[in-house]
Amino acid sequence: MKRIDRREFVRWGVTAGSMLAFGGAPAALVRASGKRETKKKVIVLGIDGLDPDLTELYLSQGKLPTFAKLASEGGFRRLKTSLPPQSPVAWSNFITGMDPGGHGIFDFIHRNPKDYNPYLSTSSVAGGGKTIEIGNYVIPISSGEVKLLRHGDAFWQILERHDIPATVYKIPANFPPAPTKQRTLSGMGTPDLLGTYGIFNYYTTEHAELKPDIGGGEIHDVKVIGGKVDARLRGPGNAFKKGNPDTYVDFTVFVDPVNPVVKVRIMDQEFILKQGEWSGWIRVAFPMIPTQSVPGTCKFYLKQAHPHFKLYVSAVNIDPASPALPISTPESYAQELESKFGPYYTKGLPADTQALDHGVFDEGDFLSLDEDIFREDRAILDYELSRFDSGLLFYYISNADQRQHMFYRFIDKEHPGYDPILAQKYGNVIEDTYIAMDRILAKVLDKAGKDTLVLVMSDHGFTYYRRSFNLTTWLEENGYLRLVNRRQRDAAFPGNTDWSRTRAYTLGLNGLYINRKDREGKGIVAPGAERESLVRELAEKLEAITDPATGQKIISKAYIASEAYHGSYVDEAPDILVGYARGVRCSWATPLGKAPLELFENNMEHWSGDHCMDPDVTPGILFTNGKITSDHPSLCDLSPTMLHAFGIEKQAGMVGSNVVEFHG
Amino acid sequence: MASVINLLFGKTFDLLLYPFQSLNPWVGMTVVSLVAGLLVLAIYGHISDQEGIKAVKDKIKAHLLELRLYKDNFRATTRAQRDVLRYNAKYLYCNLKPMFVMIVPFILIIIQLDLWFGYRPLSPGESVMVKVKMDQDPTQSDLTLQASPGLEIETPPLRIESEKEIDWRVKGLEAGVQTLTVSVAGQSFTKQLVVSGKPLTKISQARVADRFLDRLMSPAEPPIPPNVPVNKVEILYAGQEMSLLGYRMHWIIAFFILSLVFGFGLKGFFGVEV
Repeated sequence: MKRIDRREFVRWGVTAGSMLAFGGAPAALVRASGKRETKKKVIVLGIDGLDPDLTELYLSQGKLPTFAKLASEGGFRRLKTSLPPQSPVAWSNFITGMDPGGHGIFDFIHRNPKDYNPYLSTSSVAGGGKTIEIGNYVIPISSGEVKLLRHGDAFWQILERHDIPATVYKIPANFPPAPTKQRTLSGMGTPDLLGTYGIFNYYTTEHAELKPDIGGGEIHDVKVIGGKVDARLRGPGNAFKKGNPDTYVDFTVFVDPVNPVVKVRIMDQEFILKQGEWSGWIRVAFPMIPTQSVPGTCKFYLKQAHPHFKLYVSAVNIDPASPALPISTPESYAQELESKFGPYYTKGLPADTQALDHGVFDEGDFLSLDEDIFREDRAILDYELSRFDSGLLFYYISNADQRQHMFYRFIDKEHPGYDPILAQKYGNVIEDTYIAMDRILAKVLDKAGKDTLVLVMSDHGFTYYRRSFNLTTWLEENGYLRLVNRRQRDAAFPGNTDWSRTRAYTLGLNGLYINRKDREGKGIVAPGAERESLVRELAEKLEAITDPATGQKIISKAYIASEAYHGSYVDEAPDILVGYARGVRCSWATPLGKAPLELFENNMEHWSGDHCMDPDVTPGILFTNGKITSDHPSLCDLSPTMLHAFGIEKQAGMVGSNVVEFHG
Repeated sequence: MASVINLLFGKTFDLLLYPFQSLNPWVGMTVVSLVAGLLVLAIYGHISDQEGIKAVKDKIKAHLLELRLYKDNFRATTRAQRDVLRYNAKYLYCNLKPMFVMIVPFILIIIQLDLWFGYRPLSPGESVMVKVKMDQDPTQSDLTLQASPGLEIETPPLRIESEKEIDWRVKGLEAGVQTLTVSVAGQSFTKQLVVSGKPLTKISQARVADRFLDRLMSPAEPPIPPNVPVNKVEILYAGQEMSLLGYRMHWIIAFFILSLVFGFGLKGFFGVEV
C-alpha cells in the first residue's frame, strides 16, 4: 500500500460521506453461497508479499518445516507477478486470470484522461444524485453509488454459476465486493469511514515534534488541564447539510496526576488504558441529523501519559455490525463474523505504516498493532477452517507485506536507513513473520484432507528499497514535460503542468503516459507513428539511465503496454510500465505527478522494503500439494487452476492456464 | 426502611428465580412475567372502577358502531368521533388510579429484575472497570483496593479529582463470586464481583452508601459502612440482552411484552375488566 496524502485524496472526490448518508450498503442477499457438495475442495492461502528469496533462505535454514513438507509433497515455484508488481494489479490478475489489459487495473492510482485528475484505481464513490435543499439541510432524492472498477468475472463468481460454494476472506481489490451470493469480505482497498485509505488521529501535548499535517494522519495539539484532556474525533462529512461539514464525536481523557494511566470517556463508554496499552474496539456514531448517525469502530492506544500526553486513535473503521458502505456479500456475512468475534478490522491493510513513517509510532508500537491484526485474522481463520466442508476457501494475510515494507532496513546493511542498534532489536521481525506464516500453513494443512487442493501464493515478493528516482523531474529535464511554474515543483498535479507542451507524464508508481491527442483532454501527440516513435524513444532512454551514485542502471526494462497487455482495456493503460531495477523505485513525489529538483534521492524512510520494480525482481511464491506442471507459473494461471480443480474450463479473456495437477 | 423493602423484594425474587438459574433466561423471564401479569390483574381488579371501565368501553364501542352505521351522515360521524375521543379520555382517567398505585411496586420489581437480567458476569480473562466514588478529593486519600485470588488488579489507581473518583481495571481469573476489598481511613469493606456464572445470575452492579434512594436502586448488597468517605463502589459490567431467534432485545422489552400477553390473556379467566 502506498501513502496517499489525505488532502489530495479528499480532493480527488471520494465523498464517502454522501454514500454513507444516502445509500448505505446494498440490501442483504438471501443465500450465503453455492449449495453443491464438492468432492474436491480447494483452500487458497494468500500471503501478501511472501518473497521467494527469503523463503528459500529460511527453508534452507530449516525454519519453515511446513512449507518444506508441502514443497516436498507437491511443489514450489516462483510465481510470476503482475506488470507492474503492485498489489491491486497483482490481485486483480489473480482474481480474474487476466492481465491489466483485461481487468483494467494498472496501478494504485489512475487518472481521468480528460482532465488528468487522479483517483484510486479500484473503486469510485459518488455522492447522492438529486437532492432538495431546505434551509441548511440537504435531502437526498436518489442514493449515491460505490463502484468496483475492476473488470472481468472473479473466480468465485464463476464458481457460483456452477453452484460451487466459496468463502473469500479479505481479498484485495474487491471493494465494493463484486456482486455474488458467495461469502466475500473486502480487503485491501476498503476505505475507512472517512472514505480514505486510513486517517489516524494523534493527540499530543508535544505536537511541535511532528509536522501538523502529515499524510495519513491528523495531529492534534491538546492540553492537560485539571487532569483532563478534551478532544474530538473527526468523522465523515455530513451529507445532510450544505457544504458537507465534518462530523465529530467529542471525548474526554482523564489523566492520573502521577500514575501512567488514563481513562477515556467517549459517548456512553469508559475504559482505562495504561501507558503502552491498546483499547479493544470502541464503537462511535457520528451524528448527521437527529435520527441518523454513521457508526464506526476504532482503537485507542496510550503511547504516553507523562510527562507528555500522547494518545493515538486508529482510523475509524466501517462498523461490520452495521456497515455504512458495502464490505461483504451477503451483507450478513460481515455481521455474522461480528456477532461471532465482535468488531474487527474492516479497513484494508489496517497496519499503520504512516504512523511509523511519521514518528507517531516506534517499531514496537507498530508491531503491537500488526500483531493484533494477525491475532484477529488467525481467530477468524480457525472459524472458517472449522466450518469449511465444500467448495473453495480463500484466506488473505497482510502481515508479511506490511512488516517487510517497514522492517527491511534491519536486514539490509547497505540500506541508507540501516541502524545497527535497532537492527539488533528488530532484525528478526521478518524472519519471525515467515515462521508465523509457516504455523498458519500448518493449521491449513491440518484441516485439508486428501481431497483438498492447497495453494499457497503471494502476489509479489520483496526486496530492499534504497534509492528513489523522480521520474517526472527526468521527463521535465529531458523536455518531455513542461511545468507552468518551475519554482512550484511540489505543486499539485495536474494544475502545474503545461499540457500544451507536455508529450509524456507520469502518474502512479510505474506508469508513464503519452499525452495523446486521441485520449487525453489536452493531448498533443498524434496517434500512430508519432506516438509509436515517442514510446520507443522514451523506453530506450529510460533503460539507459544510470544512477551517478552507483553507476548502475536504474530501470531494468521499460515495458510497452500495447505489447505486454491483452484485452479490452489496453488503450486505457499507461503507455510505458517502468520496471525499476532492484533497490530502486520511483520517489514518493512521482505517484502524484510532482517534480522535485533532485533526480535521485536516498530512501531514508522507514518504508524500506518494496516491490514496485521490475516484475522479474520481485516474483511471488506458489506452494501446493499438487504437481506444478509449469516451470514459470504466473498469477494469471491461478484462476484457471482453481476452476480446473472443480472441472470448470477457463473463461474467455483469461490469459493464464491450469498449472497444477491434483488428483486428490 | 430501604433495608426492609430490599429484603422483602430481594428474597421474593431470589426464591422465584433460583430454580431457573441453570435454564435459559427466557424460562425465568416467562415465569416472572406470568407472576407480574397475575399480580397486576389482581391489583387492577381490586382498585380500579370495574363498573366505570365497563361502561366507558361500552360507550366507545357504541360510538364506533355509530361511525360505521352513519358513515354517510357528516354530522353524525363528526359527533361520534368526538364522543369516541371523549370516552377514550375518560377511559384513561379511569386507569390513572390503578396506574399510580402500581407504579411503585413495578419500579421495585424492575430494579430486582435488572439484577438478574441486566448484566453479564465477567468471563475468566475478561476485564472490567471498578469505580469508587468518594466524598473527598481522591488525590488526598489513602484509599486502596485489594482483590481476592480469583481477580487481578491490572492498573494502578486512576485518581480523578474533578469527579471525586478512583478507577481501576480488574481482570477476572477464576469463576465464582470474587471479592474486592476497599480500605480507607482505617476501615475496610468489600464489594462482590461475579466471574462466570449460570445462565441466570444475580449481579450487584454497585454497593452504595446508606441513603434511601441509592439503597433502593442498588439493593443487592448491604450499605457501605458509615463514616467511610465513599459513596459508591461500582463495577461496570457489560450489559446483557435477551436473544430470541437471532433478534436481541433489552430484557425490559421482553418483560413488558410477556406481562401484557399474560395479563390480557388471563383477564377473562379472572373476570377483570381492563
